[in-house]
Amino acid sequence: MRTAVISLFIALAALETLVGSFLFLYDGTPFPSLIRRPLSPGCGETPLQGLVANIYPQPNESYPLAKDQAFVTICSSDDYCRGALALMLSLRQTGTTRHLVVMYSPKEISPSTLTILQQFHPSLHLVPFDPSAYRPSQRTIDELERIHKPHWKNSFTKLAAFSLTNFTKVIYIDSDSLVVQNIDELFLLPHFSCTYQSNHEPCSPRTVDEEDDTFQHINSGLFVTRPSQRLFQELMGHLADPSAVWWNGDQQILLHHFGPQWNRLPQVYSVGIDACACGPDVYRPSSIKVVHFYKGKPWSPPSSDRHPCTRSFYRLWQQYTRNITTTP
Amino acid sequence: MLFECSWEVANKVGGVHSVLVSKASEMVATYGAGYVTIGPWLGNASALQFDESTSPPPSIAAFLHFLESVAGLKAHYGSWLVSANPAVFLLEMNPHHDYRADLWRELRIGNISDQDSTTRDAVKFGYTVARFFASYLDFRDGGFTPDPSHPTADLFLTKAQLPVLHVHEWQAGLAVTLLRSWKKQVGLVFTTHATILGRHLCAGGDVQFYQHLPLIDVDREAGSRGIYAQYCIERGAAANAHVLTTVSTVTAQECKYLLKREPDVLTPNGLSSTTYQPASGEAENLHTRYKMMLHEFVRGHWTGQLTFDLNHTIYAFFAGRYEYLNKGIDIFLDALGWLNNALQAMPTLERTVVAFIITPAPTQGWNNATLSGHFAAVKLRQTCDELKATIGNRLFDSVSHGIIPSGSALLTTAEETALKRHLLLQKGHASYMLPPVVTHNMANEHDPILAHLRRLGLANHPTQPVKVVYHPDFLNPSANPILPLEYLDFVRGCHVGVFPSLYEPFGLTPCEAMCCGTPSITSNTSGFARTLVGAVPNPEEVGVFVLDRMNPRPREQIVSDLGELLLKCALMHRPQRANLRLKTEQAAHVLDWKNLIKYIMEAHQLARTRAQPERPSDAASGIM
Repeated sequence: MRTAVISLFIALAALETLVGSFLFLYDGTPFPSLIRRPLSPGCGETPLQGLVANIYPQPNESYPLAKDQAFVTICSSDDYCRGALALMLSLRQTGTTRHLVVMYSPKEISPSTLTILQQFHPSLHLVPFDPSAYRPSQRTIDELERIHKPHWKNSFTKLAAFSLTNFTKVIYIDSDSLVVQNIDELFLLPHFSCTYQSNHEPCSPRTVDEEDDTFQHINSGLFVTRPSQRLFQELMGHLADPSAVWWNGDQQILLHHFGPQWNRLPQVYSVGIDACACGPDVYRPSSIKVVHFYKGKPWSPPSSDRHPCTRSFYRLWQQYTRNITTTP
Repeated sequence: MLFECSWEVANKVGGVHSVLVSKASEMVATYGAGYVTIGPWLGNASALQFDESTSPPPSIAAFLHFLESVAGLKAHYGSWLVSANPAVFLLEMNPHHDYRADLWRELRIGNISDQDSTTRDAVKFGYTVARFFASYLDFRDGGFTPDPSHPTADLFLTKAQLPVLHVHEWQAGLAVTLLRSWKKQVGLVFTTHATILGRHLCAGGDVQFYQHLPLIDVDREAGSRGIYAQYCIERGAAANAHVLTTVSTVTAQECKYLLKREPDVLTPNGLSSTTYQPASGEAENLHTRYKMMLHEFVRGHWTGQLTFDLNHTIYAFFAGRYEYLNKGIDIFLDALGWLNNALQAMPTLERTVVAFIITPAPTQGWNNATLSGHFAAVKLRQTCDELKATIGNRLFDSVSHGIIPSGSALLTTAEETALKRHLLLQKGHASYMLPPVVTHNMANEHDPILAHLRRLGLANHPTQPVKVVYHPDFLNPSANPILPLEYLDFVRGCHVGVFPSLYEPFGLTPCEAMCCGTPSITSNTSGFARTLVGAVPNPEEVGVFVLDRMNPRPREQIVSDLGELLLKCALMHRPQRANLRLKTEQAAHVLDWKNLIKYIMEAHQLARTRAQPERPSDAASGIM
């Protein structure tokens, strides 16, 4: 009798998993892994600390952090810093064993955000940086104004990730992304590996095509690199070059620097938020590893052009940030 | 006048032979008829590469007669059958006179056992060369009347310029010491391609060889390894040559610490561009052609079990002598294991890597599974080729009648049955085992490579993205039923060569790969990498990836670094690879003898200057 009950439980659990993934497919319910691990605050702590303690494993001997490798993101506004924290929580939630680094610009964020960052968790590395050091030449700024992409002038701050020389390998992820499955395997990849922009129609099947030469277009939403002082200096040299115009922001600098010598990552490591509208034939939800909110930022008010299938991702982001918004 | 002497002249033993062959045409272009090579006469074995001249010019005939009557030496004169056909003297060694007593009397080198045939041959050869050369000088100066009408008479004409004897490797090194001690008027150049002691110490598995180098007690190590006489001959040659040269900064260190003399000139090895580059820019076309043949091999080897896409398959290879630690085979295998795990962790990368290991080991012939798999594939290919013709006719006929046939109408039932029979044959073949990791039956059942592969669990299992084909023999297209490719064509067909050697004085294999336009991974302990780093600003851009094995590091780190480099090569896709191949091929000209011969000329000139007959003023100081 007892074994029967246990097997019933197992069957139910399996069913739940199954239903969970099903729901995600058609209804947009969050991932089963999240259902099993509630995000509610723990007891006796401030909500924020409770949240962190609950899903933020403590590094110890049985759970060592790989000493010299880190995930890093960069934020230079209140909204993006919230996104950065959501990203960091999603990394921990998916069980990464690497260090987490947030680079932030102290001048451009409010004191309350700074407090949240500082109190987030002692093991989160906070690295302040000065965005004015990453200002492109006036010529580039003018050109970006002219082609109506003025916000791109901030994209050059990403180059700061190359200065983290106390890590031997770093994976940079845009702070408007969420990791939905463990991606620690990317640390196996060589320097310099990066996601790419495809020239294809938005909903064409995206496998790594041998003959596809659209690799010329770097998408710096996620990249794997081996930081070095020399590399950093060289990249900053490109940025400071007064004769160059970087219409494509930091991506163009990276492309200019690495030429054809970089490895393309499969698209599952940077899936645009609207890709789910293409249906499961193009992106099997189970294959998605990182979601990129490249438009329709999760902190901006919902607009009508969000596809219903994207709701689950926004809800997931809300769950991660629910407690972060409450100032302790 | 330049005499070039080595045990490997017209005698294919190892790397020095390839070096001499590849630079022959450049040397002849520089010295003309004044370039003469000297090698050992090995009876019938020598006939393979040697064309004895039946009617040598009168001066040479007179010289040969002089040699035999006065010195009691027999020599064969003719041309060496390599490009530019340089003149060659092959010296017979007297089987009854092994010079060991003379060696002890003259140079106090002794203790050479009867069993040590290598050293005894070297002593014989060294003495024979020295006596040959001394006779040559006697003959030239002893009232010989030259015949200016014949060009080869040059050999005995040019007394104005000092002749130079360029000796390679220790086997002929004794000649240097002897000629110097007999005070003969000749410029002596000794080139060491690798030191005896270095090779022995590294083969012992000293992974920090280069760190330990300055601390090595050379006499004790040579003594304890039973190579004391060889070591004495080599060190004597290095000390007594007017000019000591070596091939790279790596061997220069060995010279400094093991032979106790820093080389005067570095003479990096090159390759003859004509053998490697049929036409520039052809690398990609040739690659595509030979890759198809590798695909054909894989289809045969994986008969009935081909689960991976050949368009997403990368061919990596190792080739070289079976020196498990020296050549870094152990690191390569571990890196394959690492790569297998990495690719398994990222199935979305969609990559399969087939690694070929080409290294000769004792075998008992092809194994059955290999042959039957390839046989089935060949049969299938034949059937398909036949079908192609009949289907073409049928299609033409049908369309001529105004009907475009549907797919199924193109095959008759009988043909379909024939194909089904092939499927069954394949299934039958595949049912009893995985595609074999090794193509031969190994004589040694504890073969280190196989044992290592077993330990790593690499077994060509369908779930493993890294596959291994261990071919324990050199490639020989005429006698190879499964991989009928010339070695260089095989290299062209592959995507990356892996040579993570621990001890590699120069490293011809990555050099050859580069000339074929194939990217390679080599180590910074190899002379090749050292030379290249000096010649091009960024080796990675010209398809040479350098693994750090010089600095002491944990083994795991070396393995993961190599794995990462392999992954980097594997992740490139076709346009990137084509681009890199082009750059690799273009950069290969830095290895052309045309650009490297100047260093050798420099060494010869220096020897001539240093060996000039002493002027009365400095006669007191002496040469030695």
